[in-house]
Amino acid sequence: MNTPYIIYHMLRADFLERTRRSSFLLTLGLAILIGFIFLPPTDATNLMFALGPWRGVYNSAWIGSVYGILFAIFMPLLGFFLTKSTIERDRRTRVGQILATTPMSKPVYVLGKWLSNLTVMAAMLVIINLMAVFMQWLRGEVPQIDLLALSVPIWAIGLPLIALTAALAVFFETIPLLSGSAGNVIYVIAWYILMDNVALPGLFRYNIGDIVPWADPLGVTHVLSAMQAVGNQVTPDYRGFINFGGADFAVVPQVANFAGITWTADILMDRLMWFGIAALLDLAAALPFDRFDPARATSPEGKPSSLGIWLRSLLPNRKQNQPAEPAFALAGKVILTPITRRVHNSRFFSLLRAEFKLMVLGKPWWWYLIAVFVSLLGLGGPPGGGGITFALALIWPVIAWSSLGMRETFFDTYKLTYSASSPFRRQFMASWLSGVSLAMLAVSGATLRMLLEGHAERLPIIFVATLFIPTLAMALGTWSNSSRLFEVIYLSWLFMGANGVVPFDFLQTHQTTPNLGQLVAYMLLTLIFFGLSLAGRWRQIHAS
Amino acid sequence: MQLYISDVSKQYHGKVWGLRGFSLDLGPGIVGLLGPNGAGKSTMMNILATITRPTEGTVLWNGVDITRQPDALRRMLGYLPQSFGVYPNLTAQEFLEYMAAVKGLDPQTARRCIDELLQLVNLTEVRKRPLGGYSGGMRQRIGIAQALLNDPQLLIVDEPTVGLDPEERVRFRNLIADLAGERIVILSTHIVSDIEATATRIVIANHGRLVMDTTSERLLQAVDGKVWEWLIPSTELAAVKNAYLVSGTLRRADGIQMRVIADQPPHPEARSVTPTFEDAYLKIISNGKMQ
Repeated sequence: MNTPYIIYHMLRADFLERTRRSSFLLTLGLAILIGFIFLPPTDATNLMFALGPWRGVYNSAWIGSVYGILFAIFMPLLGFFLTKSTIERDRRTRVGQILATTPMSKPVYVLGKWLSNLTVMAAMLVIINLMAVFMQWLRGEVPQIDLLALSVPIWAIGLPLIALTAALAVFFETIPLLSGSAGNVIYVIAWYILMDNVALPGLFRYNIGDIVPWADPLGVTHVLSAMQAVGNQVTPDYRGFINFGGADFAVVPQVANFAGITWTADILMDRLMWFGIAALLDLAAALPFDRFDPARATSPEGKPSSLGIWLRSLLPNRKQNQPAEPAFALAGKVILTPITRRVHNSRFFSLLRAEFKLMVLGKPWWWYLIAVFVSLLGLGGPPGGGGITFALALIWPVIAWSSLGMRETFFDTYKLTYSASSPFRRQFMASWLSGVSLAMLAVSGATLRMLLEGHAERLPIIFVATLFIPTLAMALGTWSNSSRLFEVIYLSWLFMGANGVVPFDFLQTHQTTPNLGQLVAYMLLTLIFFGLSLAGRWRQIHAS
Repeated sequence: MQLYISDVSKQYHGKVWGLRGFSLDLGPGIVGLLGPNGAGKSTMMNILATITRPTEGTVLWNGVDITRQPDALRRMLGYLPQSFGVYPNLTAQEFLEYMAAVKGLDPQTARRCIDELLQLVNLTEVRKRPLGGYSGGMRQRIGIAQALLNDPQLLIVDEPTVGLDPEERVRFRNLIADLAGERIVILSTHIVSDIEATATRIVIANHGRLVMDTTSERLLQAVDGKVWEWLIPSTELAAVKNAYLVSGTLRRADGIQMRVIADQPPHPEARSVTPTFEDAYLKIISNGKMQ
């Protein structure tokens, strides 16, 4: 059997499996929605993407370039979370163990997985390209569709980017530390830092300076630079600022003609370089890949990590020389302790404590270390640093909250828990309250500090935030049966809020006085998410 | 104590019926639910465990409809599903503490029950070891322990011996036999010997329907005088398999010893032998294929 044949069939099976999943359709729907929102009708006063006080005329070059930029901003995040499960699925379904017994080498396997991730995202790129054609026809500002001007920016920006995202997804899956929720959190944080400071400097703040290809994995600086040049011609005092994410101009903004850029061989070579880097990164993933060896498996899919076992060995009362597997032997007649009192809704606090333990146990050692550090920082950090300490305090528990609502399905314990008494009133509520308790514990240091500094008026904001976050986790967990959706949405929400996008700033860190309207809006949102969580759990129970 | 299943049906997506018109009236004792894969056993177990709701029909626990009031049964229920997971980072002790809390046991009773059950399934020495490091058999024993935590009046065990070695299987059967008495134990399996060893009442299902509800004695009587053995040359094997319902073959130096189920002697040299559960089960399941 030759290698291309193996890779083709791995790619085909993976592609069919994933494009038939609801998560693919959901991501595609989201991408189409974003594409629709960012190209509003020609008479709209509120623009999601504008160059200062004007926008480009809806010709093929503008639409293709805007879609290319949008793809560059959103796809590395959406694509990563859409595709980062391919090796995990082989592990979970035990298909991996079968593959491990074949002559297929590790580089061939990771190559197949990379190409499979790439194909899934390329399918989305095709849909987005078609969407761009449709949108130009729909808006009708410039009837002539120039397919080349429309498609080249989408593919020149998009293809190397999805190659890189696909390789990163494989790479993260092969590194034990990065394969789980911790890896997702690290990816999102790294992504936002990269986007905010390196890859898209011109988008939010200032003019793009010299274009450095190796610092431009997104491949958008050439296009943005050309857009800013048009801006400078149209408005003399234009300072290169690009409105991204919503700007209401009260009147219909000006339009200017943007002819696009010439995709020279040099620019295309720069993009190709990222394709090469992606391929190398993917092949590098073959080194740490464990080839489904259960002896090297890490939690949660397989055996706990050796570090976890070692840490447990430090706990008191551990008996030494335990047998590998004690035999199942019955000693005499079986008599169970009779349960005389079977009270409905009893012992809720015991269950809450058990759910809390379940949520925080088994995390990597550094998670507990960060928890202690962040708590101390909240109490003893620099004066006036409330915003950042609250944001930090609400990042580290992400990998604990993200198990809310999905844990029972993910670990296949739902038949045990849902057949116990009152899965709604007791287990669901205890699980949700354990998330709320963790949120309150996480911000307790910073809250105490805030009160000592005399900002008691912000207490309701913090309280609502501690309800909002676990409720969001519960809602997304019960509907997606995965931790990733919450991780990506919550962290995006938190970072957008921290970057001053007011509707997402549930901590109101960018507002000097508490905004009551926003507080009420988040209370309502929490209620909506709570309702969604209940509906999601109902669905889980009755779909099982 | 009574579990009354009345005309229960379950339809899945795609209009596939997993169960059709299933009725049973159960009291204390061990009921063995037998059937081939796809017979509807697990669907029935899921309905009784209040995991799945029937499309039609009712299930009454001591007169209470469990579709409307599932908690009436859940407080009394012990359930060992056919397949289930555990939280790999929890130890056996922590996992059982969690399950005890989910079942609403008070901490003192929970501690006592956990100690008792860990001893019962002989996992006391490894109680502090994370479940992720447990073998399949050990996990199954943890499953058994969690099912017994609340001293259940209704114990449902679905394919319980899967993953256990032969020795463990025998011990598990003894455990089930010991646990009967004043509780209803429903043992669902496709392994006939598990039922043979423990059940007093036998229910056979096939294609989602109840085929037979009987006692072990009457089940055997159904094939009494209809099980035959004789020796054939190996060249005749295919022809005999084609003509009769074969329940066993044994290769010998002088040919193949056939064991078939038939109303009349299949061969002049065939002799009638004592029937087993497996013979009876095969006859009922393949009813219509036989001569």
